[in-house]
Amino acid sequence: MENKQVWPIELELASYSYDDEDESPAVDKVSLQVEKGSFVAILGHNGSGKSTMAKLMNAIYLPTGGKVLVCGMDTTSDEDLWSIRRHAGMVFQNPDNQIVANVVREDVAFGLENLGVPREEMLPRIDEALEAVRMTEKADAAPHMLSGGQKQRVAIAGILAMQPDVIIMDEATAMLDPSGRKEVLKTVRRLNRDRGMTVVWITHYMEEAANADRIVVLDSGRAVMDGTPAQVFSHVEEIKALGLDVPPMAELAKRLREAGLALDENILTVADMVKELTNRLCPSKSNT
Amino acid sequence: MPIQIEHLTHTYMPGSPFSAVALRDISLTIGDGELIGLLGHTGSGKTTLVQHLNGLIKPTEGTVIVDGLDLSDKSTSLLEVRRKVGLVFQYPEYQLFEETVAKDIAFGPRNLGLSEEEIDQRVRSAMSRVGLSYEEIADRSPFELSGGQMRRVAIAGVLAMQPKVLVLDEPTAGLDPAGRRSILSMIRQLHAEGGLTVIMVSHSMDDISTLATRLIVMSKGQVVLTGTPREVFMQRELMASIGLGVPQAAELAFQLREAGFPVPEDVYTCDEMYSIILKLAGKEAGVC
Amino acid sequence: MLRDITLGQYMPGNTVVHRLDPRTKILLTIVYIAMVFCVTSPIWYVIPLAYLFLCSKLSGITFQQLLKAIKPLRFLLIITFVLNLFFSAGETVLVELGFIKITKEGLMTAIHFSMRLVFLVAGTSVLTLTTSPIALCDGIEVLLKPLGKIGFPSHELAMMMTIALRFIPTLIEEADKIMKAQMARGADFESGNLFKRAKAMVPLLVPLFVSAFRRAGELAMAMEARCYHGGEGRTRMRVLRFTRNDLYAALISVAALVITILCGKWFA
Repeated sequence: MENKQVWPIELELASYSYDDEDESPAVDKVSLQVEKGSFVAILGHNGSGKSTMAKLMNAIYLPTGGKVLVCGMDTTSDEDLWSIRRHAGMVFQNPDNQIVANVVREDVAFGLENLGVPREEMLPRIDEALEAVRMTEKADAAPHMLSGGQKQRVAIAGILAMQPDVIIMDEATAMLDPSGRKEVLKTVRRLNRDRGMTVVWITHYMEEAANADRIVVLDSGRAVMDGTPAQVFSHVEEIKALGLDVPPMAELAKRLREAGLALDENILTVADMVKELTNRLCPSKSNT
Repeated sequence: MPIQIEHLTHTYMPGSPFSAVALRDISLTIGDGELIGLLGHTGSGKTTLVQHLNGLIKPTEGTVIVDGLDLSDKSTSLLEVRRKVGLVFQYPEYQLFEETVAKDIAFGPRNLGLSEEEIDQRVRSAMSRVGLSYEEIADRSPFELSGGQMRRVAIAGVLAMQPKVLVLDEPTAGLDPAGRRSILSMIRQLHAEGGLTVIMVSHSMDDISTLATRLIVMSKGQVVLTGTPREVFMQRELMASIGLGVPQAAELAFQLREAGFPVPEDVYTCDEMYSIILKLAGKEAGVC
Repeated sequence: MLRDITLGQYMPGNTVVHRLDPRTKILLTIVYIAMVFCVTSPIWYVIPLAYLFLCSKLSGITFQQLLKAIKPLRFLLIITFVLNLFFSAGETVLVELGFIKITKEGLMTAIHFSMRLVFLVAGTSVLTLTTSPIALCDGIEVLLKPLGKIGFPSHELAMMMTIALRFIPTLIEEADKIMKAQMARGADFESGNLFKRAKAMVPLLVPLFVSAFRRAGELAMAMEARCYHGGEGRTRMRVLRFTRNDLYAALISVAALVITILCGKWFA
C-alpha cells in the first residue's frame, strides 16, 4: 500500500453478525474514519448496532466482514491485540461491572499491571489520571461508596492511565442520573479539548450527541446519517422516525423556520436560540 | 383521600455512627386519581419516601395513612397495604424469576391467595393493560424478551395485584427515546382508564412535565415545592439551586424576558414558545 | 436490612499490628496455631494467653472484641465440652448418676479441648480483625506463589478473592432491592416452616443469580478490554515489604512456640 493516512479508528465496510446464518447483521458494511482529536458521537436507538460497533473498535468483537483498523493495526491480528486495546480504551455502560479492585487507586492501576508497567512508572501515571478526572480526593475510597458518575470517572481514569489514543464511551452514561451524565460528559469533553484526546461517544441521548464535532446516526447496523450536530438535527422528521429525539431548540427553530421566520440552521441550545432571536427581533425596550 | 403523610421522618440506622436522616418532617396529601410527578436529585429521599407508601420501610417518626390504613400501627396487614399500593422499582425487569411470563405476573395474585380462575383473569387483564399480547408471550420465558418488553412484564406483575395507587420509580431509566415515549404513553393510559392514582418518581424534567397533574419536588429529605408543572417551573431559581433546572422552553422564556422581550412568566412548553415567538416576530420582525 | 451487614470483621487502625506485613501475620497465625496444639495441659494456656494479651495491647483490639468472635461458636463449644466430659475414659470418678459418669480425667480433657477451641478462634481473629481482606488476599497470593511451579493457580485464586470482595457489597445491595421488589408483590420471606421459607427464596435467588452471571460476563469483557491476560508478565502496584517490626514479631512468636513445647516436655 502507498502512503495511507493512519486514523485512530477506521472501519472499512466492517460487518458483524452474532449468528452465521443471520440475515441482518448487527453492523452492516459500515465505513468510518475517526479523525485524530475529534469527538465523534454514534447515535442510535437500542438495537441499532451501536454498542456492537463499539466492541468492534477494540477487538472485543472481530469483524465478520470488512476490516477494522485501530491506529493502523488490523484488529484481527493476534500479536497486536494488547496494543490495540491499549490504544483504544473502552468505558462500558454499567459502572458497577467494570471496576475490578476494592480501592479506587488500585482499580486505576489494573490496566497498567496487566501491561507489565514497572511500579515506579505506574504510580505517577495513576496520580495523573486521577487528577485528570478530578478524583484525586477519592483515591483511597472503596468503589461501592461512590456515585454512578464518580464510578464512571474512575473507569475513565483507568483507561487514561494506559495512555490511549482514543477513548470509546460505550453508552457510558445510559445508567446514570442527569447530574452523573453531566459530570461524565464534562470530564470527557475536557479531555478532548485540553489534551486532544480522540473520543467516540456512543449514546441514544441527543443532548449528549449535540456536544460532538460530528454525529454518525446508526440504524439497523448501517450508518444512515453523518455530519455536524446542526446538519444532523435539522432532519427532525427523519431522526424521530429512527426512534430518536432532536434537541428541543433545534426542533423549535425548524418549526419557526417553516412558519416563515428566517432563523439560522445551527440552533441547538437555548443560548443559540436567544442569540439568534435577539439578532432577528428587537426587544421592545431597545426599540427606537 | 388515599394517602396522607404527616410529619414523616426517617432515619437510617438510628443510634449508630452511620445514622443518616433520609426524610425530614414530610407532610403530604395525595388525592384520588392524581398523577403525581415526584422530582428530586439522587439522594433527595424520593425512593425512601415511596417505600414508606407500602410499608417496605417504617417511619421513624410521624404517620403514613393509606386509604384508612395506618402503616405505623403494628396490627395493620402489610399484605393488605401492598395490595392497595403497587410499587414498581427502578429497572424492574431484574426482579423477574419465573419460567413463563404468565407465571411471573401471577406471582403477586398468588401471594394474595386468589383462586386459579381469578389469577388467570388478572394475568390476562394486566398484560393487556401494559400492551402485551397474552397469546404471543404468556408462555414464553421472560428472559428471552427484549428489555422494553421485560419492563412491561414487571409492571404487569404489579398491576395484577390491582392496586389503587401505582408508584413507579424511574420507569424510563435506561430506555432510548422511543422506549421512553411508549412507556410514558402507557402510564398516561393506565391513569386515564383505570381511575388509578399514579406517583411517578423521576429526575427527568421532560418525562414528567408533559405527564403529571401535580409535581412534588424534594431536596435533602424535604419537600421544597409542590404545585402544577406551570407553578413549579416558574420557580426557576429555586429549581436551579437544588440542581434540577427547568425544561428548556421555560429557560428560553426566562432568557428572552431578561433580554427585554415581553414573554409571560409561566411558559414551559415548546408549543407555547412557538406561538409566542411568532407573535413577537409578527409585531416586530425586521424592525432592527 | 441486608445492607447493614459489614464485610468481615476488619477493624481499621494504624497500630504496629495493623501495619505488619500480611504475610507475616498469616505465618504468625500458623505458628500460633501450632503453639496452641503444643499445649499439653490446661495450665500452659497461660503462654498463648500472654501472647494474646500482647497482641491486644499492641493492636488496640480488646478481649471483649475477641470474645465476640467466639460467640457464634458457642454451641460447638458446649458440644465439645459435653462430649469430652461424658465420653472420655478415666478412672477418678467425680460424679455418678445412673449411666452418666463424670471422671476427673474427663473433666480435664473437656476443659483442655474447649480452651483449645477458644484460643484457636481468638488468635485467628487477631489476624482478621487487624488485616483488611484485601491485604489478606495479597498475602495469600504471595505465600502461595511458590506452589505455582507445581501448577497451583495462586494468581487466579487471589484474583477470584479480590473480585469476590469487590462484588459482595454490590450483590448485597442488589439482594436487598430484589427482596423489597418481591415483598411489594406480596412475597413473604419471614414466616412459615423451613421448607416454605426455602421455597420463598426462589424469587430472590433466581434474579440474583441471573444478575450475578450478567455481571460476571460484563466484568470479564471489561477486564479483557483493559488487557487482562492472566498473571503472566503482570506487575503489581501494591508491593509487600518486610520491616524490622516483622522480624521482631517473628522472633517473639517463635520464642513463644519454643517455650510452649519445652513446657509441655518438662512439666508434663
